[in-house]
Amino acid sequence: MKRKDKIRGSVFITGAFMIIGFLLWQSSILPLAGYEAIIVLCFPIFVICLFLWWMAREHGGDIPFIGY
Amino acid sequence: MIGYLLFAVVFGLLLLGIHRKVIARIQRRPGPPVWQELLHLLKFSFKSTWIPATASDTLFVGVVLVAIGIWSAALFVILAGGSILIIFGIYMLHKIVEHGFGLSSGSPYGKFGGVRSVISAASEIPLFVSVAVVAFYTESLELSSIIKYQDTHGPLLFIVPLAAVAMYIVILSKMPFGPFSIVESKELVSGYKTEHFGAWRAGLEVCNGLKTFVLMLMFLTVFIGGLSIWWIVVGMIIITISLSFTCALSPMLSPFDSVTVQMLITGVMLGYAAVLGVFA
Repeated sequence: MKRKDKIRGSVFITGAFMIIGFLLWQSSILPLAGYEAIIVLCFPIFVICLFLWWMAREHGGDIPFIGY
Repeated sequence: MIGYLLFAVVFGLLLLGIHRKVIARIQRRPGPPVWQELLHLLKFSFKSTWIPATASDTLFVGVVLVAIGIWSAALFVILAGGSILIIFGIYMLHKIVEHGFGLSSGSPYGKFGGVRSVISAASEIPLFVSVAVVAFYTESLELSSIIKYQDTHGPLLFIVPLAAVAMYIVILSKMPFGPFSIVESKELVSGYKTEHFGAWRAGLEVCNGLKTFVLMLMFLTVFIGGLSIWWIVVGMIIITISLSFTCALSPMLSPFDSVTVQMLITGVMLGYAAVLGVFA
């Protein structure tokens, strides 16, 4: 599996955890503190993986500085 | 909850944008637009990113995740009316995170930023003695109890103004371009965050937005009381503008002077707390 695919997978998994946590909290199965704990664990991974997913290509030709 | 979190990130970054704009106007510059920090976040997130060869991979990435996680937790603690001691603990964790940011990269600028973070911790953290002063009156460290106390007796800002000043200085020391901003001063390029670029810096921007929002929300909750969302927004803008004036009109102190001034203020606060402890 390519690195980009793994990162995309992490975005979907952490996003899914947060949505499931929300639904469980709404249906009173999960206490609010449990839902908040899921967000605290998943939100940072979700954010960083999202940024790593949509960032520019790692080995793409960058435009070199050629003077003004 | 996720809605609160996203609002806190966006509004916290807007407050930092207002901070830059006000400083620029005081210095008679046009300054960047107030949404500049949001643009920074997006810009960094789109940039090509990797981990420097000199960096410790796990620490380099881990501190960014921890930084966002701890301030998310802090926001939820305040919204739940939890204990100030948890916020105090998270603030100390943030100092460790800053230290980790600096040491993980292998850059000398980052390392100096990390070391300065520890130095400033020695002077910033004792300022939380203001929490003790609040506890003398409210007899509780739970935010929900502090809000109830203020509903009956009025804002603590007028009852213990010096404690509010001490907390204000804690927030001031975390604002960019301030007199106590030794951790990321210009002679260190960007201090502890020098080598964190691209997605890592975008993550750090998310943390900065959250941190700004959480610290100001804590100040308003502890010293003004429970407010509606609109009064919170107005209060935060007022605090930001006052901080901007302080930052624009005061020079950035050297690390030694910064710590000395903060320690002197802490000494005054300790005396104030001792007097209140005896006579309250």
